[in-house]
Amino acid sequence: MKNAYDILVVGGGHAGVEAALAAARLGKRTALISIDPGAIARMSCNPSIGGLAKGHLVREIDVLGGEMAKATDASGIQFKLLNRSKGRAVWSPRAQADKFRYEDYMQRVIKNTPGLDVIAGDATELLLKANRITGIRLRDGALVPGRICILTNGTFLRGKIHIGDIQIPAGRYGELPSIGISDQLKALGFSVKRLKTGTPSRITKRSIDFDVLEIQAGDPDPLPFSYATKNFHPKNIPCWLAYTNTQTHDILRSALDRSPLYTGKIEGTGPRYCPSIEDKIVRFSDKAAHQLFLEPEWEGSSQWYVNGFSSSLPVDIQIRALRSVRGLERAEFIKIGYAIEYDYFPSHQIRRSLETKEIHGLYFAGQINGTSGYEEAAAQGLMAALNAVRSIEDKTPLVPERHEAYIGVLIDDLCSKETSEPYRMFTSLAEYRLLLRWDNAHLRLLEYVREAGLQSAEMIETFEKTRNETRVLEKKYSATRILPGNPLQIPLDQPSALSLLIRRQELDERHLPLLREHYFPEYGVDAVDQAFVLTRYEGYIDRQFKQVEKMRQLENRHIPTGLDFHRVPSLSNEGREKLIKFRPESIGQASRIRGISPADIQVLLIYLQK
Amino acid sequence: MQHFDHHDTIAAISTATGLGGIAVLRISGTRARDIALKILDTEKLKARYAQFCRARDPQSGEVLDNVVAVYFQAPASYTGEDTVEISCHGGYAAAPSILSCCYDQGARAAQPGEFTRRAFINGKMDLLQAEAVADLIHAVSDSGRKLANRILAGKLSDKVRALHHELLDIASILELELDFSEQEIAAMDRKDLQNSIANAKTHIAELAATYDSGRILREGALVAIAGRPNTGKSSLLNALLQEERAIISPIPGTTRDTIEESFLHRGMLFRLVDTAGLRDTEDPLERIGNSRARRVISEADLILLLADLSRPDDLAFEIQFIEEHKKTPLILVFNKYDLNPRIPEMKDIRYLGISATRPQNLDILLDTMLEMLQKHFRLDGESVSISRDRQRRALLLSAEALKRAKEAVKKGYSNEFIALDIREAVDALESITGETRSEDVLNHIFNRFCIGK
Repeated sequence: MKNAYDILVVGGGHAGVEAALAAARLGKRTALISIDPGAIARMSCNPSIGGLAKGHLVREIDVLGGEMAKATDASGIQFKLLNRSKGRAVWSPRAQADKFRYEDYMQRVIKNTPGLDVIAGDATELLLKANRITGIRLRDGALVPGRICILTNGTFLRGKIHIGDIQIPAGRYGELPSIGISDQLKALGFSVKRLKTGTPSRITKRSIDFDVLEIQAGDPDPLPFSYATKNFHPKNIPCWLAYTNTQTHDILRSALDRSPLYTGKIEGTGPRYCPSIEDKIVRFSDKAAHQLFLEPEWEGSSQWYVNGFSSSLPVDIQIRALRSVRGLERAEFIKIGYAIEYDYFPSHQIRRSLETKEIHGLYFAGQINGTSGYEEAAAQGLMAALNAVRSIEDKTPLVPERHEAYIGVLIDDLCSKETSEPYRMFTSLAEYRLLLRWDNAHLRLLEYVREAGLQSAEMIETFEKTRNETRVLEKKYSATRILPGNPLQIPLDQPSALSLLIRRQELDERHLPLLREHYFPEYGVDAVDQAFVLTRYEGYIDRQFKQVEKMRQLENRHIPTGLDFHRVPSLSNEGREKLIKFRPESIGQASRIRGISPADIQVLLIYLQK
Repeated sequence: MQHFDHHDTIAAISTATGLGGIAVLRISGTRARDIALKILDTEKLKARYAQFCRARDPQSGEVLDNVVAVYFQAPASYTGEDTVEISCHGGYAAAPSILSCCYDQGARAAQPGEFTRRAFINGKMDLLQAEAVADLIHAVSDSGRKLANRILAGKLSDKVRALHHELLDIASILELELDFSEQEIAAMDRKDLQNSIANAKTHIAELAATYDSGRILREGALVAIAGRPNTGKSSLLNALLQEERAIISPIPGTTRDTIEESFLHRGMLFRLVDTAGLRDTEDPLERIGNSRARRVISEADLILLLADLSRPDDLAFEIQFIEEHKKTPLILVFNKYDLNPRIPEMKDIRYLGISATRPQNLDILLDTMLEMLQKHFRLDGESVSISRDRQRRALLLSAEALKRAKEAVKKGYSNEFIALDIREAVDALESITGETRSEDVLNHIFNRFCIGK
């Protein structure tokens, strides 16, 4: 192939899609290389997007100019805002998506993006010249030249499926694994390890007895994921809830000796937060029942996803066990659950830009970094592409800080934590959680949105307007007095400051439309709401900002890239080892690396002061 | 902000200056062994062996002293670095001349507390233990030494760590409910949550309250001798000290100022303060004395209220005084027992008869004082108490954050807000053992160490 690309994206999963789109939209000649272009943007596991902390990530991807939120809005068949009874910071949107429509949408967007080519092929070798990417070689021998390569291989690198004692080399069920690149990187000195994940069986709709199951519907007044989505009227197709019972557990337990998890056939570590059903009954043996969510994989789907029943037990056991569940006695299986093991590169090997430390122009995004989840992958894909483009343009990397975005938390964690299980985003990982709300992604990331260059000028203007209006309204809320007999129908004996009513919770979200209509008609809905949240939680938000300020001193203390930690005396042995391994970019980052003690941080601070 | 440089090798005389049999000089750092070998007339220093040799000035060749040197190889040393300790003769000549040679060979004078600071930085001890080292050096009583030793052994650190765990337990439950709200996690009952937080707060407040006992063990108990004029307060002071410290005379109001003297009894340090006799007076000097007396009394850990047995019928003043000082442990001491052995019956108060001038029952008085202090401040030999205001403040900060957390639960706030308060409580606890990123705290603490440690 003669054409030289700026950016090569290997893998067409959620990381690859965002990476390829961002790179091409920023004007770089981009190739998306996929083993099966028809499977681009496939939702390999559960048919849902968002959820706690993940929903936050999708919002951030959206404001920065990614595609995931729009695709979800376009293909969702049920939307729900989780944790609505709790505070704003932990509200989080989740959607059930129509898998076909989702990948369809993405594939169409890709086809219509100028400067983006899709190449069918299996990348087996990176072409390097003096530690710099020059292209890749495909299995068929073809060479694709390119300056930058973003690897987003998902579970495909030496992927191996386990079902009982049966093992199948595969990237996904029925799809070939990718062999070659991990061996090459290993030979180049990269550390390669194995992780495990799993997916449950899919059964036919007609074999489910819905009459005995609990219905789980979405919100009647759903909110879209994307700021760009208007006139949002999605379907609201319910999911259903079933429970395992002691008989189910007995069947599963009887076959534990046939589970590759326990026979030692699986070496990779699985996630503790999303365990297989056999793992659940072992680890929570006192629990008499576990929840199973039955979810349609697309609208009108005959194929239903059994959420909570991921397993690598032999086929006969999976079938018998699931059929012992009330409502699933006649279950017909379309796909059997399986575990999959794959190679990943422990993420101390990448910088905050997601570029590898050892090879110029090589970026990693998604499961290859040890993460799990569509949203985590998409966020990395987007950021890898943004930073790859910036490196071509000789600009400094763009990475939000921990107090600015879940994306910032994700990337900082990747660069400072050692994970032995697939990394998933949680709100508890964000120490400045109250600042990182689902509803203010556009405001807290505004500078990054501008810098990233993927958003339309019109959208940026809208965000700016909201930010300015919010600032004004915050002051107005303190100055505005609400009188007895007010149009908000809040019972009052005497005039009261609006801000006081908000803090006393006498005025809540339900009053906001009336508040805007009668008091602030010239301001946007979004700003009225933002100012409300800031007023409502003022004390807590202030405290969080103080914490950020305190930590910032350390975040701003840069550690020079080439610093030889061997030459820093008085470091503890473990601290030195970890510093050499992670090569943190700031003292703040160093302080979050496990094994680096507060005393080590002191030593570094003093050393750097010289 | 003061900064220590951790790269060079430091040296100091670790023993007190002045005349003494021996002095110990300590060199610590990567070059410690090199420097020692240049000064000592020996080929090598074997780790953990005491070596007898001569110290010479490498420049003039002059023999300075016969010494014993011990080499501690990193990390098995006090500081965690290579360290050489040289024991030489005491006095004003030998040790300083060897030290000066160390400087010539490239060692730097250690700053106050720097050896211990290095020990802390090298993970040999946490902050509480580092503070205990200073306490141990400054200990003037057995009880203070024992407390410092218990802290150095990690007993207080263990206790703080247990509290830390307690808080992390609560925090993890809160986070679990938040991040897994889609799943079958039964939310913790709000009442139970409130109780857990309240319990943790109580435990932290209890540890904060040990501050007084820690202070008493470390610095001694402030015992105020109070009473009307001429009840024999100064005589009692002198009798307990067994010296004529205070002027005594039959003239009421002889003691105008407060007089403080310390003495040890059964390993406990008492800071005995003789105060001016309390009475209404026009004499301006005596009035000043009276107000000083009242201030001492208000700060006292124990009050010895002296009454005159030769005037036993008039106890109105004493009864009033006892009523006003109910919060402080108090012993009503009837003096001049030799003149009148009949002691009035008293209720709800410890009392006994003594004679200060012709010593009677003084041992019983001392034991009673000790007993009352031990009981009131829970000074049993095994308990650990905090001993620094810094520690107390951090604990109170933590308790304060927990109070906010409890309020937040009560107000029905959701977990993420409560979690913020808990995190602040955790942060405060971490600052106690030094799990903090703030340099200021550390500098503040290390500045208060004496040279050589």
